[in-house]
Order: sequence, then structure tokens, then C-alpha cells
Amino acid sequence: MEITFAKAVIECLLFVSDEPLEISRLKLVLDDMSEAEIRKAVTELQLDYETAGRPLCITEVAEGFSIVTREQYASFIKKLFKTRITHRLSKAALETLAIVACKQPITKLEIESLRGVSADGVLDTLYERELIRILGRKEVIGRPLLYGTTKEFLQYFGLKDLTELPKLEEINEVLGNGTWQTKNGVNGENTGVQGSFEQPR
Amino acid sequence: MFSIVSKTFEGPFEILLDLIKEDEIDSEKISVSEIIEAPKLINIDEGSEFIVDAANLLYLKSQALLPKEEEKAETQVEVDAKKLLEIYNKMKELAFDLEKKELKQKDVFYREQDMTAVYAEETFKEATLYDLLVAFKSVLTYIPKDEVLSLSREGITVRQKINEILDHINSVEQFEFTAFLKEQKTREHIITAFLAILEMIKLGLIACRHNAASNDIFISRKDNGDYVR
Repeated sequence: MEITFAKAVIECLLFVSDEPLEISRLKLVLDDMSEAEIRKAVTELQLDYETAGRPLCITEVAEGFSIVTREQYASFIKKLFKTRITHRLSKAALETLAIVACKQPITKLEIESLRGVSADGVLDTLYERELIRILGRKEVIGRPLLYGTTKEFLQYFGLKDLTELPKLEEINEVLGNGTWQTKNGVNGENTGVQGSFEQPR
Repeated sequence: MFSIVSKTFEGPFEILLDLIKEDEIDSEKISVSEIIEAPKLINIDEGSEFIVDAANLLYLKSQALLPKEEEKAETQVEVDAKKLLEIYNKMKELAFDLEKKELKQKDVFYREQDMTAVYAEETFKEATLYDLLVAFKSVLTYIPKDEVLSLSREGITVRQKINEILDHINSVEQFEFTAFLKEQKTREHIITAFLAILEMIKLGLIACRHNAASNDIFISRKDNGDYVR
């Protein structure tokens, strides 16, 4: 497929999609192009939007691409949507999210041992807002639920992926040396490694 | 006043105790047996005084044995607490970063959901447990009439059902809740399927969407891409 045409197609797809489209999803449509070609087309399209000074731009978020409005027009859009109230996250919710983002999969108890307060309500709120999800159960006594972040989480904070979190590496460094294991397998491979989470009282 | 004569100390017992208390003399260097054997007790007052002092000495000595472990444990706790604090502070910084990002993202607008023309007439909301229960009840009242009483119990577990549903959903992408329940062979299957679906919702494996207009509940696979590092 010719690149200008491919770009047009991608633009259409991004326009109609209400969630970020991954390269792999675009490939399902543009099946005669390789992922590298698609990525190149998207990057060019991004640049086109940039150079033409459009009010919209193509942003890489939540492991995909999305057409979004530019920040300088936010006030007008907010005027249009003035009846909509968007609640910002509380400090407690942000801290809990930070912990989940770094240490996922993580159980409620482990979160609570770090924050020192109950995480019940906060987790409910985050779950309701689809910022966290349940990854499964940890194979220890009580089989507690394991939490992780979602795509909505990435989109909410405008992140490409989890590696974009600036403090993540530093935290893992701290966690890395000593008894704090960071080896996180997915479905229960990590049985018990986080057992050393008891908070000294 | 009782005087002691031993290798390390000579003088009144009470002064020895004071010195130990003030860490001037290491209690380990005082031999209890030497002290106890030494005195020739003259009267009951001196004897009782000696016993008190000796008991105090024993107490100090026993204490000297204990604290070492305690101190070690304390420093361990201190290290852990310090580490926790360090991690917690890092988390706090990250939370702060997230907050800044959140604020910035508030000015970025994405496409609205449900604006795509094709689905415009279908408005979905997330199905509640109540929706599911109502649907489940309607199926239960619908089936029994033509159910054949089966004597052989072909037990089916929720776990089996979950696997079955997972296979099903992978092939059809989404299915309608009541229709799916009605497809089940027996009442036992219906109930197991219902429980399986509830469990799967709880585990976040599937999503339930309730079409308010047609009252259909659609079960679909939750986009379970692998975001775990």
C-alpha cells in the first residue's frame, strides 16, 4: 500500500476509534503492511499534524496511538462540557496507584503494609474507575487477589507504557537489594516471594 | 555494709552494684560464685542485705545476657523501617509525578466513547449484579418444565465451566447472557454457568454490558492485554 494512502487509512482508523489503537490492531486492518511500515506511517502522520499546526495531534498513549486535542484549546472544550465534573484522584488514591504500578501484581495486604493504612476504599474506587484490575489470586494462604494497572491507567496519565514512569527504576533499585524481591511473575509464578512484606510493628 | 574481695573488685557490695549499673565494670567479669562463697554471715540483717545485693547482681547479670539479642532485633527493625520509609518516600514522589501528569492530561481530550456511528443506536452500560440476577431468575423459571429428570449426576465444577466459557468466548468474542444460560442442558449447568460467570467477572476476565434498550446482557472478553512487566 502506498504510504500516503496508508497514512490516510490510519488517520481514519484513529479518528473513529474511541480508544488508543496499538500497532498490532492497525496491522489487523492494514494486513499487507509490516508493523515497522505502519509505525513509520504513523510517525509521519504525527509529523504532518505537527508541521501543519493542527489543533489535534496524534499521541502515543497506553501502548497505542490516539488523536487528541491540543492543550491550548482545553479551556474551550471545558466550556462545552461544563456540566461534566471530572473528579481528580485523591492523594491516597495516587499513592496507592503508584504502589500498584511499581509492584504489580500486588495484594491488598502488601499495599497496606507499605502505606500503613487500610486500602479497602481506595482500591474500590480505583477498580471502579478501571485504573486497576484483578490479575488473579496469589497462591498463598487466603488466596488474596492480586492487583495490577490497566490500559485506562496509562491513558489517564498519558503514559505510553509503564516504563515511562520516572521513579519506577529508582524504586525497583531500592526494592532490588535486600529482602525485597521484585521478581514478579504473572499468574502465580511468584508464589511467596513477596511474603517478606510484613511491616515491623 | 558488706565487703567483697574478688579478683576484679574489692569493696562494699553496693558500690559494686552501682559500678555495674553505670557500666564501669563489666558484669561478666564478676563471678557470682566467688562472691557467694566468700562471706561469713554474722547476723540476720547483714544476711538479708547480702541476699538483696546478690539478687540485684544476678538480675544485672541476667540482663546483661539478654539485651544483646534485643539490640540486634531493634537495629534490624530500624533498617526495615528505614527501607520502608525510603520506598514509601519514593512512592510518594511517584504519586506526585502522577498527580502532575493527571493535571496535564485533564487538558487533553480523547474521542468520546459511543460516538462511532455504527453503534450509535446501541447504548450500553455496565451490567450490575442485579441485572444478572434478574436475567438468571428469568432463565430458571423458563427451563424446568421440559427438563428431564436425570438420575445420573454428571457433576460439573465451576472451574470446568470457567474453562468452557473461556473457550467459548475466545471463539465467539461475545455472547448474550440469557441465551447462553438457556443453552445449558440442565438446571445444574445453568447454576454452574451463572456462578462461573460471576467468578470470571470478579477475576476481571470478562466484561458485562447491559443494553438498556433491548435488555440484553452481553458478555465479552475483557481486553486482557499483558500490561504486567
